[in-house]
Amino acid sequence: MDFTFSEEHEMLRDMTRKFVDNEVKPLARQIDEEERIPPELMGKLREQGFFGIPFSEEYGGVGAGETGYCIVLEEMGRGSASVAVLLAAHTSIGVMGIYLDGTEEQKQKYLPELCSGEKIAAFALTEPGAGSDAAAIATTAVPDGDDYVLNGSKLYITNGDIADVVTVFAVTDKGLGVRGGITAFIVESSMPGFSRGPREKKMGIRGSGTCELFFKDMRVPKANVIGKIGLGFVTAMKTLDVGRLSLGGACVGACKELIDLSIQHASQRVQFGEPIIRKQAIQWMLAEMAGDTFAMESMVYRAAWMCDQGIKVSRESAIVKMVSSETLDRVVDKAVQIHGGMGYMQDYPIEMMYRDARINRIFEGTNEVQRMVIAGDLARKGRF
Amino acid sequence: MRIAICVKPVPDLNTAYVSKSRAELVEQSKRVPNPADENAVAVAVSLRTEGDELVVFTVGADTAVDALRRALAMGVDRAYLIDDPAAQGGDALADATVLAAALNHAGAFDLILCGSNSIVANTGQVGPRIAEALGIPHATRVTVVAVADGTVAIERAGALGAAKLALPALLAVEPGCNTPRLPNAMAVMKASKKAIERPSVVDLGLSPDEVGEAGAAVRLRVVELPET
Repeated sequence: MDFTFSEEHEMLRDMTRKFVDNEVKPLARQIDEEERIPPELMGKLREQGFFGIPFSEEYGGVGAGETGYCIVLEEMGRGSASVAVLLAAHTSIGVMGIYLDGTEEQKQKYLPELCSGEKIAAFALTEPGAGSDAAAIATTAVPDGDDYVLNGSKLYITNGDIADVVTVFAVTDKGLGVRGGITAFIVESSMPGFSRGPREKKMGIRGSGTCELFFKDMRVPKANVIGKIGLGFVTAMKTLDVGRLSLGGACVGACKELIDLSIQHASQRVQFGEPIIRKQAIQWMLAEMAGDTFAMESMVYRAAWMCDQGIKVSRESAIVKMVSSETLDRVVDKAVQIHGGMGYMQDYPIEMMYRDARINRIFEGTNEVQRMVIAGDLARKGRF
Repeated sequence: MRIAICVKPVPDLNTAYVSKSRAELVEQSKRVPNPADENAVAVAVSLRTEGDELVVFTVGADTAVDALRRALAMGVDRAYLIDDPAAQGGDALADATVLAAALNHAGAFDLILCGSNSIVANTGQVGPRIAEALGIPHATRVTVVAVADGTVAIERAGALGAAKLALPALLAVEPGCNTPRLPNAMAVMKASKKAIERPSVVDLGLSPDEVGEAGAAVRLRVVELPET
């Protein structure tokens, strides 16, 4: 058993940390307030190769695997949850479906521009009437000549406002439902019939764009079907299994940053004649934050390692998603408490991190759905 | 053109601290390239044209690999690490002897770059000593470098002014004379696959008693902390 990161992963972390310290952290509050990621920062993220971290070099990716990808998102999570979410929605779920189940032609056509960040991707499964119940989606795809004609809409699509390429799930056979009735399509925003709703106003991750997508008689070539007709639900689940891991990575980074900020504040804040870090009440909170974070970090990288070994990580990634998001909630809550009034003020990063944290229990499958996945797997196997 | 860069691995001062009881620096993370040497790598990368080869050289323990990988990620092609135990613990004289032999071993270079001073010993001697050993001209505290027609035109820090040297030459680069660009993720991954050769002292045609601690002219007797 060897828990050391490889030399290349250490270097990737070092590079990303420097980038985050110099280019992301100074803009974090601006990103939140202006509700956008500045174009100059988008350009720098592209130059550094951050849009294609886990994908292989033959498609223009960096080839750093899931472990390298979790490291990058951990470091991004220290600086700005909005930036981490931009990269994660693009990489983990927007591009991943094409990478995992796309044909060689589709990969050659789409992946290089997506890995370079020249084009941005999104993943569109949720609808007004379907979210946790993915089988209830109502967007339809009807064959017509060499195309499918898509009609319907998708809700709360991260990166929806800027995406050039969207993995869209639509019903091709209502009778079959999730067992053969849903198909995944590569949709380009330039296709006639594609339109976007306004950007949603959100509690947190405000720099990351979220909006509704509409498809009206939109013709998508049959060549853009990902995998086989009717197997879209399988692609969606495979994509989300991998995608959830990196969400854990971003939570690890946020927790470490919150601990560092809390230590810093507790060492400087003097009450009753001494820094509050000497008070047991504060020490216990810090100790619990560290314990929670260590457990989460161990879990994230073990699961990432499994993924890189080609081991299936369905139950494990659901556990990572559930535990990481709930750990972050506990850690950020304690960080606000340690900071006292300062933790509630918008002049300091804690307040923003508190708002940013909450989404993690909701997106990429609610934690209730994760519990369904975990319990379902336990029941099926009849053992841990 | 073939360009060599000599890089010294130094403690990461962001994480290292001084132990008062033991009067020594306690390192908590891997070694990093000496800042001025990183500036030298950046100069080499900026001079590169089609067909050029950039090679980095280091005397140090296995922990120096990280410093070399950093240089490789910045765009250097390959590396030499002289981690022979006999070469360890040397001073400026002994290290310059090893580096000059390693440079000869790796073939002829048109330009040799290094940092003016290290943040550790700060002698500023290694560069000039290498040049003397190789019998080539050198300049220190260099801030601007331009190569043309077998010569190198330079500018130097402060009131030292401009100069022109015939190639091959060695230039010791002023710390902070440029801002090394952060390598991107692709370059970082490629760096881990680039070759690092590890010749022994004997491979370099040297005898163990002229290098390392045995070959040093300076003996460290005692280290004391200033009273504060």
